[in-house]
Amino acid sequence: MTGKVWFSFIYLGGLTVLALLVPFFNFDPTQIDESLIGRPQAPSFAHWFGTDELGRDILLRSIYGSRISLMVGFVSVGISICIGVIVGVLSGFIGGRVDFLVMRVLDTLMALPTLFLILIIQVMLEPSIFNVMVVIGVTSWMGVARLVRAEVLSMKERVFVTACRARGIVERKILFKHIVPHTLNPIIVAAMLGMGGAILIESVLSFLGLGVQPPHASWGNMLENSLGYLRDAPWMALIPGVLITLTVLSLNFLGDGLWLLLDPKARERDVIHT
Amino acid sequence: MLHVLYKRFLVVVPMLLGVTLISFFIMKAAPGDPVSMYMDPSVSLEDMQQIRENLGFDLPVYKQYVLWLKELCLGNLGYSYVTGKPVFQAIVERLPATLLLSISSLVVILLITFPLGLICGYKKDTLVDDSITVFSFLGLSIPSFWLGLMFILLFSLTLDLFPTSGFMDPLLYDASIFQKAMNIGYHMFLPLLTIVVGGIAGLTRYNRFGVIKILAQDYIVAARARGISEFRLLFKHALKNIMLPIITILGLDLPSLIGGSYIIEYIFSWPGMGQLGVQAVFQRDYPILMATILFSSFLIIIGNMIADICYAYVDPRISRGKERV
Repeated sequence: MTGKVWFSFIYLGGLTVLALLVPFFNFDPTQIDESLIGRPQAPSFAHWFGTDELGRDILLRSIYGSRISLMVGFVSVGISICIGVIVGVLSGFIGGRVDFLVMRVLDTLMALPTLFLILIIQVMLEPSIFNVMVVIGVTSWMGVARLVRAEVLSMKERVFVTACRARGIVERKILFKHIVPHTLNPIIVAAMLGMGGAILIESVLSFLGLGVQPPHASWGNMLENSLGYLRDAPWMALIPGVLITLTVLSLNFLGDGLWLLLDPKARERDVIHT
Repeated sequence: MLHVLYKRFLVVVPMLLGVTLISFFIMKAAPGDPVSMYMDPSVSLEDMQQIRENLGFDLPVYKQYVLWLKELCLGNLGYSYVTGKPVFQAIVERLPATLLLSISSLVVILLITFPLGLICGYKKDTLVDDSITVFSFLGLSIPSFWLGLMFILLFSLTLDLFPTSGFMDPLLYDASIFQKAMNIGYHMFLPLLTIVVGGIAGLTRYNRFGVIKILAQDYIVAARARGISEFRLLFKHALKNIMLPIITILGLDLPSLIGGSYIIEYIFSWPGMGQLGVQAVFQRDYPILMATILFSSFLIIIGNMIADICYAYVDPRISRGKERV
């Protein structure tokens, strides 16, 4: 268990540091080497990850791509958690008919194939990084809302809430000071898993040309560029794919590890629903 | 059993309506004027206005929705912007390939995850459990479209073992059914493998926790104390209870399984609804897009309903009227 978590920490930490620091150096990920156009070079000492079809350095583009992926992960999960928590808390706390109605709407939204819905919305909007983040955020909050609602429902029945009421604490204060903090642990876990999901979706969108637009580098559009060179320059397709996999894997490991860490009873209890 | 069906029905109908409402608004929100999409550019503006009125575009939105829903029930989903073919027909033609691929991958995923979860849960926190967990997480984290590309690169372009794309060799048009089926299976192998790799992790994980939970229960401990063999214990006493959560999770996993398989269909040129949908994305063919999302949601809702009915069948407590938590 710990091995996996350490691996994830080190990998994600390293990636974040690189992503944050790279703009301070004088590198240009869009710089084209005219002599190498149409002739991607295999990895070498000069270009550790090789070059792409326009002679651009793949290592540099990968690092710039990680900025996109991490940002998409953070922002879209931030959005989905905000919406999910608000809906989940209100629905669970108010209960009754409101809760019933909200849950039916959630059921319906969850029956839509998310990825395809995002594709359609992206087609209608201008493809841009900003839109990608917002669209992923507003289409993936339903799991969080369910999770938070379930937690609030179970908290509402606890003795400490009754005790709060007996002491005359107003409902609003009970909700925000005593119940909501308890839902934090599952939210953190859901956030980790959600970030992985968002990064995967961004890569699909950019791969299909509906996400980050060239000449900006993202792991998804690097894969799109690699399509014509699958046989001649397989490293162009291999490197971004491996990076996406490692990043999402680390986030999943962290989510799983944190869940057991934050909630030791989880091993005996029911499984988490995200 | 009957009142379970009745109750499910009450839940499913509003969901179906909700999905049609969303699809309708996707169509409404789509940029471009549908009338001018189909018309000859030489048609005069007044005529265009008349056509719009004839088609009911001047009505309030809710009336338009009711009209649209009526046509939908009659199987009229409009016409493709690109080919001019009826959308309903285009979708129905693609349905068998999609159903074949998604049902086969579901079955294979179940056949694989069930024993895996059992092993992981039974031998929890051992090397076997850890390795299976790591590998299934790896499957979950790989972008499936990239994995598909890598499979094409390895199995088709390098080793020349499987075809890169397609459904069936056109040469086999008059071949026997058996030969055709074999050929379709041969073409389906890579897309199936890609979907299965991505789908194993979640279910195995849930299954593992299920097994751990069940094996810790008093009735299992009691059975063990009576000296029942481990094999009988697992397969006679624990099995049914282990299966229960899997059915629910399978239902919950459906949207991502179906949505995810669309990209795979596109990568492998599998002639299903997904390929149609992704192509429609590129062509901005909104009627097809709307119909694809509508049909896939229907599939998901129906799949969920089947899961719930199975659940009630396996768990007699449900059909005797006690709610599941």
